[in-house]
Amino acid sequence: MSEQQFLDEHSQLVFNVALRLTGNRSDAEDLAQDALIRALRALPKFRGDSKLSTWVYTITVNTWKNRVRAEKSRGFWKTISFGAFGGGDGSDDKPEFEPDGKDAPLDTDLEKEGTAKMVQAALLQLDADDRAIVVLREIEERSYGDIGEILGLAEGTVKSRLFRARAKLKLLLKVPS
Amino acid sequence: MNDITREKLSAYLDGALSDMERRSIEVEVSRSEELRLELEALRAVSAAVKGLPKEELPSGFRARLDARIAREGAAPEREYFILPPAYRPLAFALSTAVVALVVWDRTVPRPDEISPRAGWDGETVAVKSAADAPPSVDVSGRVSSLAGAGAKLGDEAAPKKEDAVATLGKNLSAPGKPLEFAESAVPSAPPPAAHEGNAAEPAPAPGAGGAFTARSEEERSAINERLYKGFEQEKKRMGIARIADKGSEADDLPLGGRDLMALQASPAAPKVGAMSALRGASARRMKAERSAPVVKALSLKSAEALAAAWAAAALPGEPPAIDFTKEMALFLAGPSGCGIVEVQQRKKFIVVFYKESGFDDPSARVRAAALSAKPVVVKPAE
Repeated sequence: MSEQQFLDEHSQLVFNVALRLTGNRSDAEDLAQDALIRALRALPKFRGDSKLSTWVYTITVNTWKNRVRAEKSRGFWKTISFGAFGGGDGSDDKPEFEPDGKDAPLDTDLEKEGTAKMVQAALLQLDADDRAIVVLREIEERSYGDIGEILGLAEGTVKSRLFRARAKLKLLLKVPS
Repeated sequence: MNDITREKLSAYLDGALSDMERRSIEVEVSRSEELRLELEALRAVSAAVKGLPKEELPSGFRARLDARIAREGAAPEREYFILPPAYRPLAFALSTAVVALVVWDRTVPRPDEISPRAGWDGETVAVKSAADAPPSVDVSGRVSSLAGAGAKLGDEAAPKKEDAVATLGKNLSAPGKPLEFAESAVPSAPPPAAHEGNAAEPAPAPGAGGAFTARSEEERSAINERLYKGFEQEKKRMGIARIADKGSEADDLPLGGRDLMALQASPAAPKVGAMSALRGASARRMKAERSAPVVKALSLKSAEALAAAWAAAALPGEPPAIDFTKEMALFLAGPSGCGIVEVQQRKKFIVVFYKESGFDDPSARVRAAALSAKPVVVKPAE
């Protein structure tokens, strides 16, 4: 597979994951570029033990986790700008958008742009591994096995952490139960 | 509803349960309103996240990426910075060992090391303590009983390691001339006993100092060989292997002066080479021991040696004239104002009675005495 072919096939995938992990387009582009360059450099060593897409996800998530770790260690990690979604300056740790009403049904709100911002803000409240699990499961629709392989976790761990992340999202989104 | 059931609900949403588990949870959900609501809530959360829109690549993304790849290259990545990962445990073990060695070297006290300087023309050998100081052989073939001068000083309160240094390098006078040298500590350290390895030397009587015995050149050579062999065995027994540096500052001192400096116990006294060769705890202990003033006597058998000792003690004027063809000089090294009160020639050694102060005339430090090979012992005058 040529470099161009690889980039054509995986740029969109990597960018989307990066966008949901970082929460804004600027950071997502930086992360996607870093991940794609790392993947290109490591591509000759790819042995085909796993699916190529799984391998690319692994590199993307690891690159993101390295950046988070580095940012945290420098003490500059402030969550998260919402520039990608048209609001917020990233200087506040709390999600900018709150649900319109505590009993507002989500399936109708999804139509609105504000709901996407609210969900993204709730995602950013999860810790790194939980956020990656939710993104890989709900958005990228990877199996528990794939997620375990990407994150280096056992399937049972993925299952329990996914449940925990969903429960936290349910609270953040004020979904009634 | 416990967490296990709720976790199964989450997995049920994803179709990640076995058939049996799926049927079981479906039965439970159909019977429980609470479970049904929980399932609906989880489904709503999942749908909310799934509903996040897919974003198109930013415009110019590929162009910027291609430019970056052209700039940085997409050569195969080296996944390590300095060492391949396989070597990291080894590197860690080695670095830990080095750190442990350094810590051990800095913290564990070790036997004192003394590097004799004078009296050895070629190599100098470190000895661990005055008590263990082996015999010394000088370049002129003269055999000296180091133990006689300082071997047992380790048992005494006053000079210890410095004495061994001084004793080992006792050739103050010109090589080839008969010379003897001894010292003792203040107050009234008893004359040291002979070293056990010094079998070829006549053993001094108990309580008496070691002695030099005038011998023919052949006798000296034979004794030297035996003593040197014993010295080497002693070194092995004590585990001594360190060779002191040559060319230390002591070499810059005049003849006689280097030993005098070693004898001087003043904290301000310059270090001799042997002192500077010591490290860590040994040097600190020696510094502490140097704080007490010490008076020592040198038997000097040439005008040059006397002049050097006089200069090293920073005494004003000239030393008194002594006819070294018939006599030798006893020089008292000690604090300012000290002087010799009386000299007694005894059977086994010469006793120099002194006072630590009260002498304005520096020539009081020098007394002429009949030529003798006896060791010199200092004692404070009553």
